[in-house]
Amino acid sequence: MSAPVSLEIVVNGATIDGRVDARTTLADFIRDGCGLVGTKIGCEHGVCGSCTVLVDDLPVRSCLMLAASAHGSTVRTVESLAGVELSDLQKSFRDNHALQCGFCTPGLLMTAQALLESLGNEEIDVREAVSGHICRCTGYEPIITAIEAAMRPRQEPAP
Amino acid sequence: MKPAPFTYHRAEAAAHAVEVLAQFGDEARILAGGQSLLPMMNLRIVAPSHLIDISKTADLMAIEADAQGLEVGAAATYRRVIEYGAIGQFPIIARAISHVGHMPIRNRGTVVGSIAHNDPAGELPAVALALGAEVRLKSVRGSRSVLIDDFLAEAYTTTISDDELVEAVRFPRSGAGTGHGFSEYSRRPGDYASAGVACQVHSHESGVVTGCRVVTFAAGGPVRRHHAAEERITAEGATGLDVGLAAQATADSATADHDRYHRRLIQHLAADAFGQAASSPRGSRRKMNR
Repeated sequence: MSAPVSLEIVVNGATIDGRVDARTTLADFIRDGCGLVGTKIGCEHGVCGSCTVLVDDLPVRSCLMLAASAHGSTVRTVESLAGVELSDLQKSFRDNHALQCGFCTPGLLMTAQALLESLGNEEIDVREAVSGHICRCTGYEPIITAIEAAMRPRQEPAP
Repeated sequence: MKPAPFTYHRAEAAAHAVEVLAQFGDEARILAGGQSLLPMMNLRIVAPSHLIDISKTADLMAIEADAQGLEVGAAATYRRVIEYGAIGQFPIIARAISHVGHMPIRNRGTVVGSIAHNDPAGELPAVALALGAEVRLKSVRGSRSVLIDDFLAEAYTTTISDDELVEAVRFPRSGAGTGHGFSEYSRRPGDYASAGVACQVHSHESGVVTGCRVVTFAAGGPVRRHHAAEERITAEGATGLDVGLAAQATADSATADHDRYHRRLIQHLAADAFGQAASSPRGSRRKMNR
């Protein structure tokens, strides 16, 4: 056994003050420690992108970060996106058929969410931004279409 | 897979990190961004007994440009380096970083960690070697600086001692008449490179080449310089940099044991890198005159 490590971390707005086995990855902590199983664990070596969450507002691989290293950080997972209803980004994924089995979706949503939040005047290359995510069923075109649609300014409803 | 058990040490300061290193030596590993170390731990390729986390160690965070160059602390992520105001004065470093993994990897991974890891496909060891960077090492015995040439050894190996921490890497600022190039090919952006070339060329105002550094990475063997190619390029550069000849010299030196595809690939990448170097010194000279 590795010795437990003390940890204070904010996950989806809730402060968690506890102890964790030193070798616990952030991905396992989120799923097993917090019960937030929206975050998926695929390859466990940083290739597939399924476990991507936001740590201090930046997308990171939660399988390549120890929970202990997230001490003092703010973490957001896919569960933070929807309120009573799905978020506009999630609706855009649904409307554009950007998911099929849904395994890669939580990671893609969090990377896309970071893109939406950092939208300034700069040109953002969505393909480049999501290139670290592997989808094995839907294909990438609908995913990129969905993210680009969510990035466009809201259109006024027709009178 | 999950990492094997270890004892975790959260380093409060660089001094604390080297104290733990002094105590546990080669049983301990430094964890910075973890984007190379944690995959290796997850796959149980490595299983250190002690892990010293410097990812939030305040005195290792600094990124600072001065008249001599750019100093990057051990905990500075690629992302913070790219967003650093003066990075535009070091375009070859920014270019090298743009090839590293994917955005979430660059959000955690560190410049110094890449150099300390010395992956044969590492962009940062390659650019550090092309620029002649200086590596600052710290231990409880004191601090020392070594030239990158004397730091990088075989693949995944450096000349660091078991009790030493790479505290920072300093990239020298290049003067007027210095051009740089960096070129790599990978089948998909973000993947490990199939091959890459980094170079630095010094030339006199008249165009005469006065010196150069030529580095290959992901080209079979470790990240390394090609002294024979450098001598040829300098010797034949009396009338200016000949990009075609420089590319040929690089390929001749780097690809003795390679198949035809890799010989041609490295020659092509070297031509691209030297093409960049040939067009950048005039640019930097213009900037200096302003």
